[in-house]
Amino acid sequence: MTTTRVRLAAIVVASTVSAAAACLGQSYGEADQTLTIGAAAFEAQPPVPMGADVIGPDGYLYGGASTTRWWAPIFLPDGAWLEEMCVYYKDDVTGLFDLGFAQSSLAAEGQTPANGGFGFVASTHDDGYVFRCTGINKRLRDLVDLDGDGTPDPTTIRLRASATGAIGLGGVRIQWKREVSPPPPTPTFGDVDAGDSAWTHIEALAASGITSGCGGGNFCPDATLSRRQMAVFLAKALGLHWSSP
Amino acid sequence: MTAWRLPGLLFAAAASLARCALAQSYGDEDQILTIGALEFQEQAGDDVAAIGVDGYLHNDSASPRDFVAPLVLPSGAEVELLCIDYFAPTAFPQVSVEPEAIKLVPGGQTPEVQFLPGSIGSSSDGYGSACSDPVSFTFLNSTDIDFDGVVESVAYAVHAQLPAGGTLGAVRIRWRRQISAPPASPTFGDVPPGDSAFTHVEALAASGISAGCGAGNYCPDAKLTRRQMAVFLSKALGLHWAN
Repeated sequence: MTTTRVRLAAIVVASTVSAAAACLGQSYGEADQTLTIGAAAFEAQPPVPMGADVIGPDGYLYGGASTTRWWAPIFLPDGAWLEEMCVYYKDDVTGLFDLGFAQSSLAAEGQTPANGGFGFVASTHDDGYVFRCTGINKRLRDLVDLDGDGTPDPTTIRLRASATGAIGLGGVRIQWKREVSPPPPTPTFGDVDAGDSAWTHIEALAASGITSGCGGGNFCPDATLSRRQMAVFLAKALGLHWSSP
Repeated sequence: MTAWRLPGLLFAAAASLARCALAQSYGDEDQILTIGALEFQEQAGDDVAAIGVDGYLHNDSASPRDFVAPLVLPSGAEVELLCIDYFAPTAFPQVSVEPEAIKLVPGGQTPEVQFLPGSIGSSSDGYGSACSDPVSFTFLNSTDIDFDGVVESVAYAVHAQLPAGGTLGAVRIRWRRQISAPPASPTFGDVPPGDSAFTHVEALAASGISAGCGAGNYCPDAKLTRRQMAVFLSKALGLHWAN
């Protein structure tokens, strides 16, 4: 099926102020940001019959009479704080729809992968286009003890949707924010102890390899910074700059 | 779309990871996002497409087919140029690619798919590359995409149409980061709109990286201590979650 779509005469995307963000590592700072995952990021798994997994003229993804399961990968930095998820979809008075986060651990030899999930949004059988949001309030980690054996395992996370009937999936918006990681139990630098106002931040820089201090096991937190030092900090922190030919 | 598994390598997962990793160079310079063949799925979901031994996405059916891949860039990115790498069995019909924006709507509105500037058509038969005319649009996940005065959520995609026997290797997008536009009224009393660093200081404030030096000021000319530098950098990057 080839879809038809609306073509507007002149399309210029307005360059307005926005707090929104896109993919892993794309906006910085600890302010709230959003990740938008469109219908094109979802794929049906297992494969479905022809005509039962179609992106319509409205850009929404449609299933069929039998249940379609869609998956989309999500990428957020380790330690990201998930706040809220909103699902944009076309509801159907008789259709069934739910969407949420699914997690799976990756098993070492002799172990069995464990599965989990959270943050599900379900259809309310409205007629037409709707969006529904749910609070998450969860910290995402790369290592999670999904199987409850006391040892965190490498874990993948993705979105899982299940739809039956005339349900259309438009996309998902996830509101999240960065956090600075917790500090180690013992201070790295002699002059920045746990009582220092910037302790967690300085420890995070040390753990990231961005600073090794000012020598003698110290960080010299009250020394001012030269423009030379600023250049080294910034370039190391951002991994600058490998230009594309 | 099927995930193609080679020994020890799950291509679909690798391609998805690359999509994000490639969008992570910093600074305001031009950079390239490559959307590979594995990122595309057939719009009608009838599995007539396959990745060939050349790594290109092949339309193995006898009729044109539409494919879509998600387009993910940082909000505020300026898109400058799109290029495709393709194989076309004949000069016409062309392998064509267009970026598109999908308006996500709550109740009572009409969703729309809008083509964005930057359409590309193959320029010859055989293997080749072709690029769009230069474009300039800003990628925003929240914007008034249809100029109706209401800001809506927007998802972006790249739409490809392959003629029978046509293939697509990748879509390459040249883009660059931009510092966001400043607010109408200044956040800090000592950094007015005329300040040489106004947009940059406002961007730091909006990102939660700086709350200023107290009393509604930023103290732009004060010297920075190493402690303050550490707080700026670690908050900016969300450092560091060790496993």
